[in-house]
Amino acid sequence: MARRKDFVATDSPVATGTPSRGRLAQILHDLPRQRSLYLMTAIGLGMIVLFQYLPIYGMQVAFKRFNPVDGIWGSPWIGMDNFAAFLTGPYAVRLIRNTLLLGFLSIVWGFWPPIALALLLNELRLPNYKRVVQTISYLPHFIALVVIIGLMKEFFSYDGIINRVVTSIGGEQTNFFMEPGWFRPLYIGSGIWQGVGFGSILYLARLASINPELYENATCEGANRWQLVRYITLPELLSLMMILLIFQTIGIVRVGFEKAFLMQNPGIYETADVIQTYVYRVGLAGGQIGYGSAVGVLDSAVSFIFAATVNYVARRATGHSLW
Amino acid sequence: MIVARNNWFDVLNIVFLFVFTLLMLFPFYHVFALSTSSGPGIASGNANYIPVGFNIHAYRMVVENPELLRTYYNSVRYAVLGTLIYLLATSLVAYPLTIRGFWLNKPVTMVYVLTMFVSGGLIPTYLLYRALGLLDTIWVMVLPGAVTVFGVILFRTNFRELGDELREAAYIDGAGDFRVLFRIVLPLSKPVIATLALFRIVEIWNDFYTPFVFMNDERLMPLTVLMRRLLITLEITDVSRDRSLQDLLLEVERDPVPIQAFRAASIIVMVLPIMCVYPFIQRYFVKGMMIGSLKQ
Repeated sequence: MARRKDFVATDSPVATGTPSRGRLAQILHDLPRQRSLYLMTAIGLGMIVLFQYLPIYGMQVAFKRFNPVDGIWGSPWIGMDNFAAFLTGPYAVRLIRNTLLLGFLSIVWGFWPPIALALLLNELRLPNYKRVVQTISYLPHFIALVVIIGLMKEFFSYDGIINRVVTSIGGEQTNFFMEPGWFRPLYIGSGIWQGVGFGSILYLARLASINPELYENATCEGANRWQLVRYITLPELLSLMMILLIFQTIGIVRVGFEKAFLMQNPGIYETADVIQTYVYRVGLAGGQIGYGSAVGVLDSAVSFIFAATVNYVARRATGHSLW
Repeated sequence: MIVARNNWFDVLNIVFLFVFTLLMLFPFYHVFALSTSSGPGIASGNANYIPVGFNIHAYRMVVENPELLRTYYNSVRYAVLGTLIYLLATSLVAYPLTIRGFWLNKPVTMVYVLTMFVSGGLIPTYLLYRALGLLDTIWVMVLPGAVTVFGVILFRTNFRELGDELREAAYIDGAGDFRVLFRIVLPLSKPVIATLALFRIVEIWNDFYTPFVFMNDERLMPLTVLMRRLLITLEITDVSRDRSLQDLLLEVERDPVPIQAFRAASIIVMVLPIMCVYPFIQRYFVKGMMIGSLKQ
């Protein structure tokens, strides 16, 4: 019993960091009864170290001539040869251009629709209607990418519904999935369709937390609805916008594989081949482990630089940033 | 806000959002119309908006496909096991972070958050899974994503809201931390559990990348891999070479099922479970997302 009472006392906020005892002594003193906490932490840290940090450590294979017998650790170091092979090769420019352009354009076109949707929903004065629109707008987010691409193939196939509409108004049939020029519009457009509703959730949450007095005061001063949005709502949303923008720039280069891979065919590699799909095709499926990892490391580096740049620009321009 | 009568902007807004909603739903409706139409109906182009020559042969064909049943079973298996492991692991990780004054909290949080910014990439990950013997096992589907930063933050925020009093009362009654977590904290966290369960179920159900890259064994493939073959890589010309599919498409005693209808029906069958679960859980995940967003 005494032991438990002691716990309550030392664990209460007042008692934490008591200056009379050293930090290490405190930790050691708490150790026996915090056994379970250490065990829980160990499970989580173990998983994270195993599945997140070990692969980072394994990135060193990019600097090695990999052979399966010696494995990652035993293969000989070859310095930057793998990187040089890629950067001087024929595909480096195309892959980096495609990856960055796809990421950049996805943000340019995809960043503002969720904000616009959230603002429009926020102006809606019919709560039930609003809830229905919201619920339906989230739905595509939960549909598998394989199905999304399948849907697109159905819609944009040579005798699909889009081509029927186009020809009925006098246009020409297009084989959308075979045209390099259509890859980016299809990729980005479907991304907006799928993500706009879900992307608006955080903005709607933020909008709901704005102090209503701000609006009441401004309305008393004679502000109209547009002015309320312009001078109260948008500034309140700014910090969230910047944080999400930075998160998106981090995410884009990383998660590019699945969708680009499912949409591409060799005929449109000119625009559709991105670093991630190349790493899979040449590095993993093609067995060039060291070379493929080097391309992957470059990808991580590029995405980090991308995010850091946006973070910097956001901080300079708006004062809000992630770090 | 001061209530004003609806002006032209409100009307426009209502109409716009109505069109927007139709745009969100139309693809699914279109596919439904195709899946229940006959071959001539589809060829005429009228089946784009309403079923023509209504029939459900395509669905019978989809359901009779033994591959579909196997991959469906695998997907369900992975989603259920993966979600259970996820909830267990993530709550175990989040719990210590809610104990005030536990000295490991700050460093551990840092270790978790850092993983959002750096990742090892495909090939080191592949080599690691191979070394661990995860390739071509069910574990590759359920273990690597078992602890996510998002889930930890959500659980932690929710656990903290419960306050310290309950836990301290339980300590006095002689309960250990594991008992506190499983008997007190988790039963009080049902909305968060529902949210995270939904996310994880959907994530595994929709995962194409993991099985495609890290599995070879046909018998272990989930639905997404089959869907890629049926919806994306399969060309009409392939059907003539694929005997089993040919038999399915042109069964003698029935009307031949057009490939579009077959594909459309496959899409519906793949999407159906999520469409069914979705309306019931969606209010939880909005709540959950908001709890998560407060942390940012």
